[in-house]
Amino acid sequence: MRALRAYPALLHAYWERAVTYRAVFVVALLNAAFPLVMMAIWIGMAQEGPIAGYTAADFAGYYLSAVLVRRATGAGIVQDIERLVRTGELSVYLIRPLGVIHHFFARVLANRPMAALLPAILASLAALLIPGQQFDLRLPNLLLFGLACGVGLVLEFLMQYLVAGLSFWVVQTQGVSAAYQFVRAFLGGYIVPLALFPPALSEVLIWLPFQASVALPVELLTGRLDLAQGALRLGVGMAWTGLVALGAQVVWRSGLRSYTAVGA
Amino acid sequence: MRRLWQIVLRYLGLLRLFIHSSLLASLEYRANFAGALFISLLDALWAVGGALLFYTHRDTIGGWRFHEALIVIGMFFIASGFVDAVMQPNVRDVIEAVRSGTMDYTLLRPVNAMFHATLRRFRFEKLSSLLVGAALIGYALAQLRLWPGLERWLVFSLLGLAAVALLYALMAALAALCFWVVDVANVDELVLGVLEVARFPAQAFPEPLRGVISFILPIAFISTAPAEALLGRLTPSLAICGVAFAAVALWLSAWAWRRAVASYTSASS
Repeated sequence: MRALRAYPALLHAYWERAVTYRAVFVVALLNAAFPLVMMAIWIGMAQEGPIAGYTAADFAGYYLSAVLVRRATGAGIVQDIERLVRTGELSVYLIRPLGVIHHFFARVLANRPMAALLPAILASLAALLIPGQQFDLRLPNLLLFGLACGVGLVLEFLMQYLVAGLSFWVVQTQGVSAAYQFVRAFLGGYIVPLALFPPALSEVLIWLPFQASVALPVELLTGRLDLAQGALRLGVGMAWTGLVALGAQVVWRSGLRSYTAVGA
Repeated sequence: MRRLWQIVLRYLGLLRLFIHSSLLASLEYRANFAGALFISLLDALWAVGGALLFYTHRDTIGGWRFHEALIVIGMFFIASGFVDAVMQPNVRDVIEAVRSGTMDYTLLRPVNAMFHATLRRFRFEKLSSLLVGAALIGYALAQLRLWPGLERWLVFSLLGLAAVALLYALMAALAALCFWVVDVANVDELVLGVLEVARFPAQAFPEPLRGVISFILPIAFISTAPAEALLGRLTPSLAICGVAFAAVALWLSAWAWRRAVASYTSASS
């Protein structure tokens, strides 16, 4: 409870920081290049007819939303935590009365508006300019979309927190982190809509944790899921969030016990 | 003529020195080689997986079959390996040197500034992409049961060199840009972003994008044209076009460097 009361101040501080270093967010947007290349090729292919129910305009809608949602639910904390552990700077956070996790979560939260702003403007412009796109903007669906984004953000944050926790034992976690990023982008609907995988595979993918951060919110926004399907997959995402939270806690607790603070 | 030969020899000797010292530095961190190879393999898995998904829905895309497109992907990995290993570290160094004023030391040396600043440091571990790219091309050729004749390999190598020259010119010009606009950190990411388009054959993209990447921004010459040369589809005029593009780009970047160095005011003094 005490942690919650610290949040307004934490959010304010990290928000100020995000505003100061805003150029970083423009460059980070360039990571969107690969999905947009995939989008262009699907659009080219779809000119001969829709692919697995996706027309050219659907592809545009899907990928533009994916770039937006990816920025809204992304975290990017592994490298920072890894550096803190490697250099021993983590000790500074450990002696503060508030848990380490709150500092990082507040920073991620405060960065979201800045990160999502530019893609949101670009995506809405494109949505207005490209005809024939389907977005489901009815209120219950939008509420579910917002909820899915929230769950996606928390899950993604906890996943990265878990991976970062491995740096207590492995000095360079970049390999693990890179592998996780690749798998998540590919199997989570950022690079390819899940419906375009072979049917047997996409049946499996909707039960994995990776679908919750990008695929689920995007499919909700583009009106590809009815409420029941959306609720089911949101439930899957929540269940994974609980599991990953438990795992992260175990990893961090035993990790901190073996942490010897380099340079202290 | 004799003098020109001496200059070329001198610069080749310098290049050998630069490569040697970078190699020694890279060998200090041997674990990085395994890490970089791991990441290249993951990236390849991703690219090939994406291509496979396209081909589960269509037999040919823009006139390319799956294994033909693999050659383009392989060529992309070779090109991006070159950018990661050679261009990125040097461009980063140039930006930092201009910002902090240490570019003075480079300019004071009796060597061409562009040569010294852009080919000084190599990250050998990033050459793992080259291995992955070559392996992809080899696998694709074996699957196609295609053994290109000597002249196709020659044209392929020539266009590959032209692609490398084109990328070099592009990155060198960007590095020159930072003499005027100092806070352009991460411009190299911009090139990497644009280079992503070279992952797939240019013909797979819908118009007008296809026209743009074939002629305005000559990205098609980085991966698609060499692959076409290997498959024997490239027309002679396009091959000449590719080499000409590279030559013009090199000349333009050298010109930009001369202008940039002339306008350098040094941050420290």
